[in-house]
Amino acid sequence: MFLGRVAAALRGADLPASIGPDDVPEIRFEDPIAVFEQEAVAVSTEVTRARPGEALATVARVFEAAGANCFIAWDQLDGFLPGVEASLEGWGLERIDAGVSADPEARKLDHARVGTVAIGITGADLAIAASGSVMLIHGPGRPRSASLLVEHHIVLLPAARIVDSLIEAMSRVTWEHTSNVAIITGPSRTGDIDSVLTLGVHGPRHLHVIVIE
Amino acid sequence: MTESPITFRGRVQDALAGGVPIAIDAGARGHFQGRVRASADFPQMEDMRDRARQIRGLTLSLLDHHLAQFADSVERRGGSVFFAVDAADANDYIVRLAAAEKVRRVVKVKSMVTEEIRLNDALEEAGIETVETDLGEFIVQLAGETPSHIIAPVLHKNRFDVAELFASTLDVEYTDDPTELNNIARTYLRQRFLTADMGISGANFAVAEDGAVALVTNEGNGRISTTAPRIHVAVMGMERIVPTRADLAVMLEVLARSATGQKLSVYSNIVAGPRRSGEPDGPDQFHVVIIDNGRSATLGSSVAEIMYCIRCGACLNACPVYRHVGGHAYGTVYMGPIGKVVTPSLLGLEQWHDLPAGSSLCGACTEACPVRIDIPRLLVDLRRQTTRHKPWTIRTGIALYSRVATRPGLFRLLTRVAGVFGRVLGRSGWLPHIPGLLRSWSAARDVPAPAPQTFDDWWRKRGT
Repeated sequence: MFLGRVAAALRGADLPASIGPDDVPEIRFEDPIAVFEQEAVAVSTEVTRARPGEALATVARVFEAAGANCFIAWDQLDGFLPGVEASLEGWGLERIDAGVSADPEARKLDHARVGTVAIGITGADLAIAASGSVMLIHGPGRPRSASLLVEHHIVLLPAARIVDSLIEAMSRVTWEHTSNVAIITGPSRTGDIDSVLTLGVHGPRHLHVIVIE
Repeated sequence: MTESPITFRGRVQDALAGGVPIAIDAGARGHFQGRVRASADFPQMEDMRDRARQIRGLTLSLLDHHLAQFADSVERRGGSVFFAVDAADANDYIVRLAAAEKVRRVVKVKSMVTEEIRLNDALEEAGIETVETDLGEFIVQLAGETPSHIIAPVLHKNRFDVAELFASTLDVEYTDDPTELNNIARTYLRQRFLTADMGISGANFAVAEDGAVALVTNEGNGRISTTAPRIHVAVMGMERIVPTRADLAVMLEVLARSATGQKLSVYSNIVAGPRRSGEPDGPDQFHVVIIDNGRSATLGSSVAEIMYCIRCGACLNACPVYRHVGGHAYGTVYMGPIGKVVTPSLLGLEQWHDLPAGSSLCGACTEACPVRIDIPRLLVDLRRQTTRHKPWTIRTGIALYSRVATRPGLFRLLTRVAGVFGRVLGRSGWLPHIPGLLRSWSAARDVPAPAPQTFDDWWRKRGT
């Protein structure tokens, strides 16, 4: 009945300009990595371009600066930065389980555990040069909270995963194993109070993207 | 929807008396300049707008088909879809779901459509604590007010207003530092996010092929509210549909640029169903409530084009009227140029016939609109329809004028007579305020005195 009413309304509808360009304007860059870096920095992301060995040192520096000794993270981070899992363990850092229960009361306890962790580490499945964004396709072993509830979000981004545009990134999303995709462009921000830019209103205050070359 | 019984004029006078609009003008101007910069910085912007407009037109022309596909996709992924004919229908479904699931606390992501149906009132009446989590909307809720801008709800408040509000309602020490105020809200709301049973969001777009809703925020509240609570309810107007992920990408390209001048908002969160087996976090239930509430009637009307709107707020920022009177003057949650068309078409022209008149038809809104809605055309159309709701004085006046203006002899005679009065009354070249029926009209305008010689007479003399 709902859809029937919509169909009936459409018979008389005046919806102008249903003709126009059929294709989407193309966005291309000669050096997507450089554009990514520039755009990410412009939205207050802390970007490091590094070889794998240096990338590990950058991760260590974030922990040091934050004075943190635990973290939440995606599984199988070695797929983004080989050796990172062994290093985290070797540094004596505690990995907090980010899983939350379906049971209402147990869930609240899980949140109390996860919600206070200062550092989250994830990979990025793709990154978008045009806007300096990273795309996280969640799924098993990939907690959303690692990029959400923490103060510092560390993103491990292999340089080859940087594409030119949002449209290109979106065309590569598949929903087989996940119910959530997040495209993240800088740390959490607001201008709601007096139009003054403030970082970290609900989500991470710091977004560290390590571009691994 | 929040409805105001008084007239547009009355609300404008209230707004101006409050002295509030200075902050509004500055804020809107900032967003306006951001949009102009972002467009200049993006060579594909004009083509992208054309494509976005085309997507809106094509999608709406097959809306029933896309809605059916969307509902199928959501259900295939383990979510539920409820089609709500009106506000009561939607609120009833959500309140009943909350009761059945023993929900005590709801966290909400700012959403125009839930303001439209007054969902918060319905939840509170059912004894369910409802917390707005967008910082601006949270402030509006604490103050017991309504938003004054589509995407910047507290544009009408400055930091000192917020400081006093927090100190008096949140049991914290007074501070007017925006960062400190932000930290207070972060701490307060974080605890609520993590203990809420249900998260309620709107939907910037809904992707038919994927059964996914896209939520765009800068603060991250949109992601937390749809991750932490065990139930996620997305409420959307039925026109929010895009057919494909590729179309979604086009809409997101124009949305943030038009709204705030960002290339993309900080968080574009795309949710397709409850968490899948093996996912460590995310909601266990996913419900989409699709709302008509007057939209199908609008779609069948001569102002159907208004349904292209993607709620970016660019027309507000561009509008000289909005910048002077602020959002509250429009009387409902839909304000500015877009509100002047949306409100009368959803709620009835009879009650809201004065809104389409509150415009100079300058066209700044259309220039700013990412999907190029011809708002002046729609306003003129509504004005034509509203003549029958005008007072008899205006209807009679216009009927008389059209009689006179179509009879050259009579017109010549009357303009000569007016010229005689002009010589007497308007020595300065301007008329004093006109009493009687035209009093309020002339009070706001400088009316030139009729010239002593009519154009017609001058032309004849010149010819000889």
